[in-house]
Amino acid sequence: MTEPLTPKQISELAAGYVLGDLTPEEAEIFQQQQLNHPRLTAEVAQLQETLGLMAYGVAETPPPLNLRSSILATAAANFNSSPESRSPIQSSRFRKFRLSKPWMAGSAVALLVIALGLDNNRLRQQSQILQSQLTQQEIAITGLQQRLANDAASVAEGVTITSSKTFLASNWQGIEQLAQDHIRSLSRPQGPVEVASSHPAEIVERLQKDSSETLSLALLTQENSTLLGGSPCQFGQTKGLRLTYQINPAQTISLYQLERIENASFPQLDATQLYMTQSNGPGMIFWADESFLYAIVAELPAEQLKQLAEQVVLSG
Amino acid sequence: MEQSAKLQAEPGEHGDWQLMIRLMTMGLDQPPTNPSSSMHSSDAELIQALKGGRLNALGELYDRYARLVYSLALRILANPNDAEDLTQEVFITLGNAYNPSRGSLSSFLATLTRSRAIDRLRTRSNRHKILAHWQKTIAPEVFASTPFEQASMVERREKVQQALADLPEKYRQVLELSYYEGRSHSEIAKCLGTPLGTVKTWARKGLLQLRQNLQDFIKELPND
Repeated sequence: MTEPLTPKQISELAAGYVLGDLTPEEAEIFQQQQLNHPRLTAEVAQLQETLGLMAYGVAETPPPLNLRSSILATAAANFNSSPESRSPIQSSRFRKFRLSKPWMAGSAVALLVIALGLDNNRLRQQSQILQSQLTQQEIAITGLQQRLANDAASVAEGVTITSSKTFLASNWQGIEQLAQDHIRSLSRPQGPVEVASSHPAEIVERLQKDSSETLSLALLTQENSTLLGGSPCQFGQTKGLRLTYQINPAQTISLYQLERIENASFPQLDATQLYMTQSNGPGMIFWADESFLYAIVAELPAEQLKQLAEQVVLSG
Repeated sequence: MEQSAKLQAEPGEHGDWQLMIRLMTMGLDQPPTNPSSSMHSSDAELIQALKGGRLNALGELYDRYARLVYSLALRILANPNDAEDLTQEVFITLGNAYNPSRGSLSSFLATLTRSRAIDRLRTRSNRHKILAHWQKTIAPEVFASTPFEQASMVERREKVQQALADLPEKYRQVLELSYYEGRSHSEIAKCLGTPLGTVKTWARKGLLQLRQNLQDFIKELPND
């Protein structure tokens, strides 16, 4: 840059960022400004807030009188049906709803069922599948069921199991590659992203020009997080997308969304979040749904990573 | 205290990874209520009650916010049946979708309604895109402590409508076409027969001036 931008010019860039109309050149300048001026993140939040208030700019129209009872009746029907269908996300009426935590829904309790002895076929099957996968990866799960059974009350506090060296060294090279990808992205001279944009739709459009497929995109909704952009990535045969976020104070986070393929060099997770960390390296949390493997990678402690993972939603 | 058993592999080709597989339970996901605001902790309490199966909580939430959701849905979709259907979808999914730690319920509902409505518009008009042009699936950060969140719905509408009315016509027009109709700035430029750069300038200046007009109601910026 030749001359420093004036506060007015920076504010206009922030407005353009929030409105999603920055040119690639402007986005690059804005990204640099954000690194230099942490206050800009607060200004972006303020402008997003302002934009959101436009919801109140429309004339008020009362809904039809019967809508309230219709909604309550539908909700009551959901709650009165089987426990598995209590969740609106799982109900047939609203199966399409996409704002869900990808690692939630019933699968999150798959191993918990072992401890609690719930007689639920679906969960039992998931548990068996997961156990099979764990065995394939030579994970040492000896004693887990005993431990869970002995201490079911503590399950809600979180339970961990151990693994073996083989587990790491044999099949999961993708994890190592993914950590390296995150680290490399931070030191790229042109910035951490291939497509600099705060707008997921624009990122995907520019990265998938020949595809009209609708994709449920995993997005981080953490307060004070700013989407810097996205980059394609590939680890072995596993392709995916890396979204790069910045949170206050300056901390760069990579959110990966990878295709889920057979025999990939990544863990086949169904029922858990997997936390990994390496000395002098980033920490990671992995989780999965039917279609994708997700990972949050950052130089943050486990609890903060977990909180970030909880702020990831699917949309699209 | 959390139970954990970590394994530290021998340093080698893959470094000294530590692993933990954590069993997550649904109960762990209950966010803490926000004690700083009685107004919004009561929203949070209703959400908690709803998650626990108390349907009267859903009725109360509907009474508070149905007009906000329905009015916005109707403005964007311009079809009462579609607006009704979307309102139902928003409220039925509310218990699972909303996380109080991500902002106020009213801003979440507005964001979700707009996002869903624009999705429907795009499907309807074959302008199919993954997300709304603005990243509004992400709740804007309307903090519970802002004066705006303390105001009644009627006051909020009055304030925002006045703030929009105070904008120069061209600024307001561009913002409204973007927000309420989900149009990109390129589409607006074609529609208005105005260069794209001009439309962008109007939109940016319009948003900055709207912030200025609403400055008493939104969170102040921290000092450097």
